[in-house]
Amino acid sequence: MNKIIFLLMMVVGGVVLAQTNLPATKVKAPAKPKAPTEINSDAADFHMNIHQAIYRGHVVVVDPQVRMTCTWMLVDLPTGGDHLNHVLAVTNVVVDFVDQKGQTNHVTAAQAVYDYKVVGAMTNETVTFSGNPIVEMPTMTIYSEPLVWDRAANKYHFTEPRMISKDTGTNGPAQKLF
Amino acid sequence: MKFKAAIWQRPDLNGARLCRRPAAAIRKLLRLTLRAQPRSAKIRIRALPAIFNPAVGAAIFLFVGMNDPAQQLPVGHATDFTSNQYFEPPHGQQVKMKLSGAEALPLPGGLLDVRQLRVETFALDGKTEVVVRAPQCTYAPLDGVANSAGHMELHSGDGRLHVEGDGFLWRQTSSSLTISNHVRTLIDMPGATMSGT
Repeated sequence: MNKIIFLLMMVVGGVVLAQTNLPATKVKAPAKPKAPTEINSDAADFHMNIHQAIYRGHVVVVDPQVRMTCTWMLVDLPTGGDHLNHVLAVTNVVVDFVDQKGQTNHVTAAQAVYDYKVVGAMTNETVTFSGNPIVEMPTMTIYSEPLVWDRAANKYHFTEPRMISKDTGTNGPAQKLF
Repeated sequence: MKFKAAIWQRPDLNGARLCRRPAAAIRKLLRLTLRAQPRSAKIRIRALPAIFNPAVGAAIFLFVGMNDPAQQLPVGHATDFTSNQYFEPPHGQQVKMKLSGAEALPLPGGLLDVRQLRVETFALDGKTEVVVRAPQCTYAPLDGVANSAGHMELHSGDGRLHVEGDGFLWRQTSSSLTISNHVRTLIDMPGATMSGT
Protein backbone atom coordinates (compact mmCIF):
# COMPACT_ATOMS: atom_id res chain seq x y z
CA MET A 1 0.00 0.00 0.00
CA ASN A 2 2.80 2.35 0.93
CA LYS A 3 4.46 1.61 -2.37
CA ILE A 4 1.29 2.47 -4.25
CA ILE A 5 0.95 5.76 -2.37
CA PHE A 6 4.61 6.51 -2.98
CA LEU A 7 4.26 5.78 -6.70
CA LEU A 8 1.13 7.90 -6.92
CA MET A 9 2.93 10.78 -5.23
CA MET A 10 5.84 10.42 -7.61
CA VAL A 11 3.53 10.46 -10.60
CA VAL A 12 1.58 13.46 -9.35
CA GLY A 13 4.80 15.26 -8.39
CA GLY A 14 6.28 14.52 -11.77
CA VAL A 15 3.25 15.93 -13.54
CA VAL A 16 3.41 19.05 -11.42
CA LEU A 17 7.11 19.45 -12.07
CA ALA A 18 6.57 18.86 -15.75
CA GLN A 19 3.96 21.57 -15.78
CA THR A 20 6.16 24.03 -13.96
CA ASN A 21 8.97 23.33 -16.38
CA LEU A 22 6.84 24.05 -19.40
CA PRO A 23 8.61 26.50 -21.68
CA ALA A 24 7.22 29.99 -21.41
CA THR A 25 5.01 30.82 -24.35
CA LYS A 26 6.34 33.61 -26.45
CA VAL A 27 4.29 36.72 -25.84
CA LYS A 28 4.34 39.16 -28.65
CA ALA A 29 5.50 42.53 -27.40
CA PRO A 30 2.84 45.13 -27.96
CA ALA A 31 3.56 47.63 -30.66
CA LYS A 32 5.23 50.69 -29.25
CA PRO A 33 2.82 53.58 -29.46
CA LYS A 34 4.02 56.41 -31.60
CA ALA A 35 4.99 59.41 -29.57
CA PRO A 36 2.78 62.43 -30.16
CA THR A 37 3.99 65.54 -31.90
CA GLU A 38 4.96 68.17 -29.36
CA ILE A 39 4.86 71.89 -30.03
CA ASN A 40 6.33 74.38 -27.62
CA SER A 41 6.27 78.14 -27.99
CA ASP A 42 6.30 81.37 -26.06
CA ALA A 43 2.68 82.19 -26.89
CA ALA A 44 -0.16 80.90 -29.00
CA ASP A 45 -3.56 81.86 -30.36
CA PHE A 46 -6.23 79.24 -30.89
CA HIS A 47 -9.09 80.16 -33.19
CA MET A 48 -11.69 77.57 -32.39
CA ASN A 49 -14.15 78.53 -35.11
CA ILE A 50 -11.68 77.86 -37.89
CA HIS A 51 -9.70 75.13 -36.12
CA GLN A 52 -6.48 77.03 -36.38
CA ALA A 53 -3.59 77.61 -34.02
CA ILE A 54 -0.86 80.23 -34.35
CA TYR A 55 2.31 79.76 -32.35
CA ARG A 56 4.55 82.74 -31.70
CA GLY A 57 8.09 83.01 -30.43
CA HIS A 58 10.70 80.27 -30.07
CA VAL A 59 8.53 77.65 -31.70
CA VAL A 60 9.90 74.14 -31.35
CA VAL A 61 8.24 71.13 -32.94
CA VAL A 62 9.43 67.72 -31.87
CA ASP A 63 8.18 64.82 -33.90
CA PRO A 64 9.42 61.22 -33.59
CA GLN A 65 11.31 61.75 -36.84
CA VAL A 66 11.87 65.47 -37.11
CA ARG A 67 12.78 68.45 -35.03
CA MET A 68 11.86 71.91 -36.30
CA THR A 69 12.32 75.38 -34.94
CA CYS A 70 10.96 78.66 -36.26
CA THR A 71 9.65 82.01 -35.06
CA TRP A 72 6.02 81.81 -36.14
CA MET A 73 3.88 78.86 -37.10
CA LEU A 74 0.31 78.32 -38.23
CA VAL A 75 -1.29 74.92 -37.76
CA ASP A 76 -4.62 73.78 -39.13
CA LEU A 77 -5.73 71.66 -36.22
CA PRO A 78 -7.01 68.23 -37.19
CA THR A 79 -10.67 67.57 -36.59
CA GLY A 80 -12.50 64.33 -36.05
CA GLY A 81 -9.33 62.31 -35.58
CA ASP A 82 -7.90 63.35 -38.91
CA HIS A 83 -4.21 63.66 -39.65
CA LEU A 84 -2.52 67.02 -39.30
CA ASN A 85 -2.71 68.31 -42.86
CA HIS A 86 -1.30 71.81 -43.09
CA VAL A 87 1.43 73.70 -41.27
CA LEU A 88 3.07 76.98 -42.24
CA ALA A 89 6.34 77.84 -40.53
CA VAL A 90 7.85 81.27 -41.07
CA THR A 91 11.15 82.98 -40.21
CA ASN A 92 14.37 81.21 -39.31
CA VAL A 93 13.02 77.77 -40.11
CA VAL A 94 15.41 75.00 -39.16
CA VAL A 95 14.60 71.33 -39.69
CA ASP A 96 16.76 68.45 -38.52
CA PHE A 97 16.18 64.79 -39.20
CA VAL A 98 18.04 61.58 -39.88
CA ASP A 99 17.37 60.00 -43.27
CA GLN A 100 17.08 56.32 -44.16
CA LYS A 101 20.83 56.09 -44.73
CA GLY A 102 21.43 57.33 -41.23
CA GLN A 103 22.70 60.70 -42.45
CA THR A 104 21.82 63.84 -40.62
CA ASN A 105 19.94 66.41 -42.68
CA HIS A 106 19.95 70.02 -41.60
CA VAL A 107 17.60 72.23 -43.59
CA THR A 108 17.31 75.98 -43.21
CA ALA A 109 14.88 78.31 -44.98
CA ALA A 110 12.79 81.39 -44.47
CA GLN A 111 9.56 79.46 -44.86
CA ALA A 112 8.34 75.88 -44.80
CA VAL A 113 4.94 74.52 -45.71
CA TYR A 114 3.88 71.06 -44.62
CA ASP A 115 1.02 69.44 -46.52
CA TYR A 116 -0.54 66.05 -45.96
CA LYS A 117 -3.13 64.77 -48.36
CA VAL A 118 -4.55 61.36 -49.15
CA VAL A 119 -5.84 61.00 -52.72
CA GLY A 120 -7.26 57.56 -53.32
CA ALA A 121 -4.56 55.11 -52.26
CA MET A 122 -1.83 57.72 -52.57
CA THR A 123 -0.51 59.63 -49.60
CA ASN A 124 1.15 62.92 -50.38
CA GLU A 125 3.21 64.26 -47.53
CA THR A 126 5.52 67.08 -48.47
CA VAL A 127 7.43 69.93 -46.92
CA THR A 128 8.14 72.80 -49.31
CA PHE A 129 10.97 75.10 -48.26
CA SER A 130 11.39 78.54 -49.77
CA GLY A 131 13.40 81.63 -49.02
CA ASN A 132 16.97 80.53 -49.67
CA PRO A 133 16.60 76.90 -48.62
CA ILE A 134 19.78 75.00 -47.87
CA VAL A 135 20.23 71.32 -47.08
CA GLU A 136 23.35 70.36 -45.25
CA MET A 137 24.33 66.72 -45.19
CA PRO A 138 27.58 65.19 -43.95
CA THR A 139 28.98 64.99 -47.47
CA MET A 140 27.42 67.92 -49.26
CA THR A 141 25.46 71.11 -49.10
CA ILE A 142 22.64 71.70 -51.57
CA TYR A 143 20.95 74.93 -52.53
CA SER A 144 17.61 74.90 -54.31
CA GLU A 145 14.73 77.33 -54.65
CA PRO A 146 12.23 75.93 -53.87
CA LEU A 147 13.20 72.73 -52.14
CA VAL A 148 10.58 70.04 -51.73
CA TRP A 149 11.05 67.24 -49.25
CA ASP A 150 8.73 64.38 -50.18
CA ARG A 151 8.29 62.63 -46.88
CA ALA A 152 6.09 59.90 -48.33
CA ALA A 153 8.75 58.91 -50.88
CA ASN A 154 11.77 59.92 -48.81
CA LYS A 155 13.09 62.14 -51.55
CA TYR A 156 14.12 65.70 -52.17
CA HIS A 157 12.88 67.46 -55.28
CA PHE A 158 15.24 70.21 -56.36
CA THR A 159 14.80 73.05 -58.79
CA GLU A 160 18.07 74.00 -60.44
CA PRO A 161 20.08 72.79 -57.48
CA ARG A 162 23.58 73.85 -56.68
CA MET A 163 25.68 71.39 -54.79
CA ILE A 164 28.86 71.88 -52.84
CA SER A 165 30.67 68.70 -51.97
CA LYS A 166 32.26 68.85 -48.58
CA ASP A 167 34.98 66.38 -49.63
CA THR A 168 36.53 68.63 -52.26
CA GLY A 169 35.12 71.92 -51.24
CA THR A 170 34.52 72.75 -54.89
CA ASN A 171 31.44 74.33 -56.26
CA GLY A 172 30.23 71.72 -58.68
CA PRO A 173 27.81 72.18 -61.52
CA ALA A 174 24.13 71.60 -61.15
CA GLN A 175 23.50 67.91 -60.75
CA LYS A 176 20.49 65.68 -60.80
CA LEU A 177 20.76 64.19 -57.37
CA PHE A 178 17.67 62.09 -56.98
CA MET B 1 -12.83 66.86 -32.56
CA LYS B 2 -14.42 70.21 -33.24
CA PHE B 3 -13.70 73.55 -31.82
CA LYS B 4 -16.67 75.39 -33.14
CA ALA B 5 -18.56 75.31 -29.88
CA ALA B 6 -18.21 78.50 -27.96
CA ILE B 7 -17.19 78.00 -24.39
CA TRP B 8 -18.88 81.11 -23.15
CA GLN B 9 -22.27 82.25 -24.31
CA ARG B 10 -22.44 85.92 -25.08
CA PRO B 11 -25.09 87.52 -22.95
CA ASP B 12 -28.16 88.80 -24.62
CA LEU B 13 -28.17 92.51 -23.94
CA ASN B 14 -31.07 93.41 -26.15
CA GLY B 15 -33.11 94.45 -23.21
CA ALA B 16 -30.39 96.72 -21.91
CA ARG B 17 -29.77 98.28 -25.27
CA LEU B 18 -33.37 99.19 -25.69
CA CYS B 19 -33.39 101.04 -22.43
CA ARG B 20 -32.06 104.56 -22.21
CA ARG B 21 -30.99 104.06 -18.62
CA PRO B 22 -28.70 101.03 -18.22
CA ALA B 23 -29.20 100.90 -14.47
CA ALA B 24 -32.91 100.60 -14.96
CA ALA B 25 -32.38 97.84 -17.48
CA ILE B 26 -30.23 95.91 -15.03
CA ARG B 27 -32.84 96.29 -12.31
CA LYS B 28 -35.40 94.99 -14.77
CA LEU B 29 -33.17 92.02 -15.54
CA LEU B 30 -32.77 91.35 -11.85
CA ARG B 31 -36.48 91.28 -11.35
CA LEU B 32 -36.67 88.71 -14.11
CA THR B 33 -33.88 86.76 -12.45
CA LEU B 34 -35.62 86.59 -9.16
CA ARG B 35 -38.70 85.26 -10.82
CA ALA B 36 -36.81 82.41 -12.47
CA GLN B 37 -37.42 79.03 -10.92
CA PRO B 38 -34.29 76.90 -10.46
CA ARG B 39 -34.68 73.30 -11.55
CA SER B 40 -31.65 71.65 -10.05
CA ALA B 41 -30.37 71.51 -6.53
CA LYS B 42 -26.75 71.35 -7.66
CA ILE B 43 -26.17 75.00 -6.91
CA ARG B 44 -25.88 75.99 -3.31
CA ILE B 45 -26.29 79.65 -2.67
CA ARG B 46 -24.56 80.85 0.43
CA ALA B 47 -25.59 84.45 0.44
CA LEU B 48 -27.54 86.87 -1.63
CA PRO B 49 -25.75 90.18 -1.27
CA ALA B 50 -25.47 90.64 -5.00
CA ILE B 51 -29.14 91.13 -5.52
CA PHE B 52 -28.75 94.48 -3.82
CA ASN B 53 -25.98 95.44 -6.21
CA PRO B 54 -27.55 95.70 -9.64
CA ALA B 55 -24.29 95.49 -11.57
CA VAL B 56 -22.96 92.42 -9.79
CA GLY B 57 -26.31 90.76 -9.70
CA ALA B 58 -26.77 91.25 -13.39
CA ALA B 59 -23.29 90.01 -14.06
CA ILE B 60 -23.86 86.79 -12.21
CA PHE B 61 -27.18 86.40 -13.89
CA LEU B 62 -25.60 86.85 -17.29
CA PHE B 63 -22.65 84.66 -16.38
CA VAL B 64 -24.70 81.56 -15.92
CA GLY B 65 -26.47 81.99 -19.19
CA MET B 66 -29.17 84.55 -19.51
CA ASN B 67 -30.06 83.18 -22.91
CA ASP B 68 -31.47 80.05 -21.42
CA PRO B 69 -34.03 80.67 -18.73
CA ALA B 70 -33.90 76.99 -17.81
CA GLN B 71 -30.39 77.37 -16.47
CA GLN B 72 -29.48 77.74 -12.86
CA LEU B 73 -28.89 81.20 -11.60
CA PRO B 74 -26.41 81.48 -8.76
CA VAL B 75 -26.59 84.87 -7.22
CA GLY B 76 -23.84 86.15 -4.97
CA HIS B 77 -21.22 83.76 -3.65
CA ALA B 78 -21.83 80.38 -5.24
CA THR B 79 -20.00 77.15 -4.49
CA ASP B 80 -19.84 73.88 -6.38
CA PHE B 81 -21.97 75.30 -9.11
CA THR B 82 -22.82 73.74 -12.44
CA SER B 83 -24.51 75.41 -15.33
CA ASN B 84 -25.63 73.80 -18.55
CA GLN B 85 -26.12 75.50 -21.85
CA TYR B 86 -28.31 73.72 -24.38
CA PHE B 87 -28.32 73.59 -28.15
CA GLU B 88 -30.82 75.59 -30.12
CA PRO B 89 -34.06 73.85 -31.12
CA PRO B 90 -34.73 71.21 -32.30
CA HIS B 91 -31.90 69.89 -30.11
CA GLY B 92 -32.92 71.90 -27.10
CA GLN B 93 -32.73 68.91 -24.76
CA GLN B 94 -29.05 68.27 -25.45
CA VAL B 95 -26.31 69.92 -23.47
CA LYS B 96 -23.96 72.04 -25.54
CA MET B 97 -21.74 73.31 -22.76
CA LYS B 98 -21.36 72.44 -19.14
CA LEU B 99 -19.65 74.99 -16.97
CA SER B 100 -18.73 74.18 -13.42
CA GLY B 101 -16.62 75.63 -10.71
CA ALA B 102 -15.80 75.22 -7.07
CA GLU B 103 -16.50 78.83 -6.27
CA ALA B 104 -17.63 82.07 -7.92
CA LEU B 105 -17.05 85.35 -6.17
CA PRO B 106 -18.39 88.66 -7.39
CA LEU B 107 -15.76 91.32 -8.02
CA PRO B 108 -16.11 95.07 -8.53
CA GLY B 109 -17.03 96.16 -12.01
CA GLY B 110 -19.31 93.25 -12.68
CA LEU B 111 -16.49 90.71 -12.81
CA LEU B 112 -16.47 87.24 -11.37
CA ASP B 113 -13.61 85.41 -9.75
CA VAL B 114 -14.11 81.75 -10.65
CA ARG B 115 -12.14 79.00 -8.92
CA GLN B 116 -11.51 75.50 -10.29
CA LEU B 117 -13.16 76.33 -13.55
CA ARG B 118 -14.10 73.43 -15.78
CA VAL B 119 -15.80 73.92 -19.12
CA GLU B 120 -16.91 71.00 -21.25
CA THR B 121 -18.35 71.37 -24.71
CA PHE B 122 -20.31 68.63 -26.39
CA ALA B 123 -21.22 67.66 -29.93
CA LEU B 124 -24.77 66.95 -30.95
CA ASP B 125 -24.18 63.23 -30.48
CA GLY B 126 -23.25 63.84 -26.87
CA LYS B 127 -19.53 63.26 -27.30
CA THR B 128 -17.20 65.55 -25.43
CA GLU B 129 -15.43 67.94 -27.78
CA VAL B 130 -13.22 70.01 -25.54
CA VAL B 131 -12.52 70.21 -21.83
CA VAL B 132 -10.91 73.36 -20.43
CA ARG B 133 -9.65 73.55 -16.88
CA ALA B 134 -8.19 76.46 -14.98
CA PRO B 135 -7.62 76.78 -11.24
CA GLN B 136 -8.69 80.40 -11.34
CA CYS B 137 -9.96 82.94 -13.83
CA THR B 138 -11.64 86.32 -13.94
CA TYR B 139 -14.70 86.51 -16.11
CA ALA B 140 -16.28 89.64 -17.50
CA PRO B 141 -19.75 88.54 -18.52
CA LEU B 142 -20.71 91.78 -20.21
CA ASP B 143 -17.64 91.73 -22.42
CA GLY B 144 -17.59 87.98 -22.87
CA VAL B 145 -13.95 87.81 -21.84
CA ALA B 146 -12.22 85.51 -19.39
CA ASN B 147 -8.60 85.78 -18.38
CA SER B 148 -6.11 84.53 -15.87
CA ALA B 149 -2.42 84.78 -15.16
CA GLY B 150 -2.45 81.22 -13.94
CA HIS B 151 -2.15 77.85 -15.53
CA MET B 152 -4.72 76.40 -17.88
CA GLU B 153 -5.23 73.13 -19.69
CA LEU B 154 -7.29 72.16 -22.68
CA HIS B 155 -7.79 68.74 -24.12
CA SER B 156 -10.00 67.35 -26.79
CA GLY B 157 -12.62 64.74 -26.06
CA ASP B 158 -10.84 62.10 -28.13
CA GLY B 159 -7.62 62.73 -26.23
CA ARG B 160 -5.63 63.52 -29.36
CA LEU B 161 -5.00 67.15 -28.54
CA HIS B 162 -3.66 68.53 -25.31
CA VAL B 163 -2.73 72.17 -24.74
CA GLU B 164 -1.43 73.81 -21.61
CA GLY B 165 0.18 77.09 -20.71
CA ASP B 166 0.35 79.94 -18.28
CA GLY B 167 -1.79 83.03 -18.61
CA PHE B 168 -4.73 83.06 -20.97
CA LEU B 169 -7.34 85.28 -22.50
CA TRP B 170 -10.57 83.89 -23.86
CA ARG B 171 -12.66 86.03 -26.20
CA GLN B 172 -16.13 84.68 -26.40
CA THR B 173 -17.26 86.62 -29.45
CA SER B 174 -14.52 85.28 -31.67
CA SER B 175 -14.13 81.95 -29.87
CA SER B 176 -10.45 82.58 -29.62
CA LEU B 177 -8.04 81.62 -26.90
CA THR B 178 -4.68 83.30 -26.39
CA ILE B 179 -2.12 81.65 -24.15
CA SER B 180 0.64 84.03 -23.15
CA ASN B 181 3.45 81.90 -21.80
CA HIS B 182 4.99 78.45 -21.90
CA VAL B 183 2.59 76.98 -24.41
CA ARG B 184 2.87 73.24 -24.81
CA THR B 185 0.79 71.31 -27.31
CA LEU B 186 0.68 67.56 -27.83
CA ILE B 187 -0.96 66.27 -30.99
CA ASP B 188 -1.45 62.54 -31.34
CA MET B 189 -1.79 61.92 -35.04
CA PRO B 190 -3.42 58.68 -36.14
CA GLY B 191 -1.71 56.74 -38.88
CA ALA B 192 1.23 59.09 -39.14
CA THR B 193 3.78 57.81 -41.59
CA MET B 194 7.11 56.65 -40.36
CA SER B 195 8.73 57.97 -43.48
CA GLY B 196 11.32 60.64 -43.49
CA THR B 197 13.71 58.68 -41.40
